[in-house]
Amino acid sequence: MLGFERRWLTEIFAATLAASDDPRFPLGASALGVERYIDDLMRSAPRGFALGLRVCTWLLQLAPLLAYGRPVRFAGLDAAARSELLEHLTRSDVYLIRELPMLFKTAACLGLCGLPELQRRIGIHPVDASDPEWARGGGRGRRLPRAAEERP
Amino acid sequence: MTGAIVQTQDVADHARVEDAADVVIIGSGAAGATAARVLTEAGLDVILIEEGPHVPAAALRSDMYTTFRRVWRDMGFQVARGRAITPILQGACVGGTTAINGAIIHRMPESIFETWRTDHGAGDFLKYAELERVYETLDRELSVAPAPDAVLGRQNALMEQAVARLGWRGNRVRRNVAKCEGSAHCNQGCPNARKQSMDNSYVPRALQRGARVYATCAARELIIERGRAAGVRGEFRDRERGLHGPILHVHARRAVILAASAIQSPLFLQANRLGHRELTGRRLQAHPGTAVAGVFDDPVEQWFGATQGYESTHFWHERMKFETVGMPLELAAVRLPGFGVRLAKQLAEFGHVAFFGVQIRARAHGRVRRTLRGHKSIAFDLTAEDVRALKVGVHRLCELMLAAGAREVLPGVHGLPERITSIEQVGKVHDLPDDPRLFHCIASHLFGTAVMGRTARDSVVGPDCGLHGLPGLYVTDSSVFPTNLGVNPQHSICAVSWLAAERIAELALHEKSRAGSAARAPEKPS
Repeated sequence: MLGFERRWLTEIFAATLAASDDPRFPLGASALGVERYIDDLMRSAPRGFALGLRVCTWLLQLAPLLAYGRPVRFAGLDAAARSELLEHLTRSDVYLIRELPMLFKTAACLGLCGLPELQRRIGIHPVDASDPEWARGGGRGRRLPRAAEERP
Repeated sequence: MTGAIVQTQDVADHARVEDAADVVIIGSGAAGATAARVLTEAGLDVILIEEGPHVPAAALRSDMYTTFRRVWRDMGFQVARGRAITPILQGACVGGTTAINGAIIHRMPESIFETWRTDHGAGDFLKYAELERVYETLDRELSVAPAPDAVLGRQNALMEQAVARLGWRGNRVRRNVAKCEGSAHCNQGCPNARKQSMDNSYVPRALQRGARVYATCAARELIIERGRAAGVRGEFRDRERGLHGPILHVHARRAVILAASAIQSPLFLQANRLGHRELTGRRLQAHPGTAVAGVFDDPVEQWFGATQGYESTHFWHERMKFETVGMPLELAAVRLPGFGVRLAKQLAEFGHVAFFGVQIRARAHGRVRRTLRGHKSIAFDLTAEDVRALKVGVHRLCELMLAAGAREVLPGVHGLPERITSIEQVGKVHDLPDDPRLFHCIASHLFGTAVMGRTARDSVVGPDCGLHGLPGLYVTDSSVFPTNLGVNPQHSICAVSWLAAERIAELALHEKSRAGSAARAPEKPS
């Protein structure tokens, strides 16, 4: 995956899974080490899936033009408009169009929603004692802040 | 003599691994492990070849991404193509799908067996009384019992109450779990090793009797000598660690059993140009299913309790079965509506969400095919009748959810409101076209791709599970099932494989004793 494709996918995952003002889900994809996750996903997923994800990443860049007739790329929208566009596509009567955002949702949630800290905040217990391998150690992306670290 | 599990990292520095046994079994899931249990206890030497890894309970994780990567086939992304894209769920590890299924145990309904007997000639080999005998033993050895109160959990209790309110017939699921701790992690592999999946039951039992398991090793080629199956050539490859290992060459003195599932077994036959040319890989049948979510005022906390602990077969004769679906957050997130902040707020409420599902005894026939480049291609497309059954199923699921006390129900069907609060709102489902693309279905429970029958003209294997035209090769997994069952098939796969293995053991021991007496016979004077 090329650098700019990876950046696009990061933005799509961030628009899929955003932080909310609910204390049980305050962390969005960008706070969850999404770049490290994308690297691991593209390395581990079956070739067909990884290729499909790349193709769909390109298609989504053109989606604002096709959906709203606006000459702007997905990356050119603000955060709320990106999420709204993804929702808009899921309401399409064309099956392949409404499956496009579902593919991103599946890929993003599969890894990011499995993080123990995120699950713990929702109340799930017990959770894994350690982060999954992709979220540990070096590489790009930030480490997930723990609830205790955020308290004043 | 105790056997061993050998994986790629154990033999990475070997040029070649060779071994020999009386019987070589491809696949360590319900069919393969059960055959190994029967054959080793008959005194035969057995080798199991498993494409996936052996992951002990202590090394399992609850996050689905790691689980998918390690123990689910194609990382959970295996799909069938039709008008809709349908995920096909299978395990790929020691224990096969039994390691990651919901531990639901059913016997084959007698009416299904009757069609097998009358329409497909299965009665030549299978007798229902024989199946019953094996079911009894399986129940005992795999600790099958209804989900107890202590680990019922709120989600299962909600469905139990709703079924009673609606006057439907329902029951606690009979599960193959010994002293369940209610971790709700059946789909990730039981972290407490309580589920009596094959990796926790018959594989260790066969190991105790000397069986060897070659894991992270894909069977590639059937070795044929003097017109009969004589062994298997495989290739060690650990996908998770990115390790390539040596070639495995195992000699089978008596028989080779193919028990790699209704997807992998026909692919192996096709790769080796074996089996009925037209039928192998055809007639793929399944139980496609979908689920609806309900949001409750009181906590549901589906992370405690039996993953799938309650079911209703009230409408089984309409080809549908209802059950609770324990859904990890990662998968629930995909099923819940919204993106961005709206999804986050929905996920924050996850503790108040329950999932009930319906599985359909579909009439659709699909196909498993090896492409010219050697890749797998699965085609499966629901019939109009199947889609109508799904519509009725979704309607009833919503009714059930509301009867359980859900504040709102999220049917997840394109063309219906995102959220409903009264059953009238879901009536519109019947006005929708008979189009599978309106639903989010998954397909599990796969059957029929190397079907059993009397003659080589209309089937791939004979009533004894032996491949027509090639002595010594048997197929004992659900690919030989002539039809789908309408209930969870693990027990029936075990039972059919058990009976086939008994017969193989009998023949092998007979051959062995003949060979032994010939060896012991005094030489005739020349």
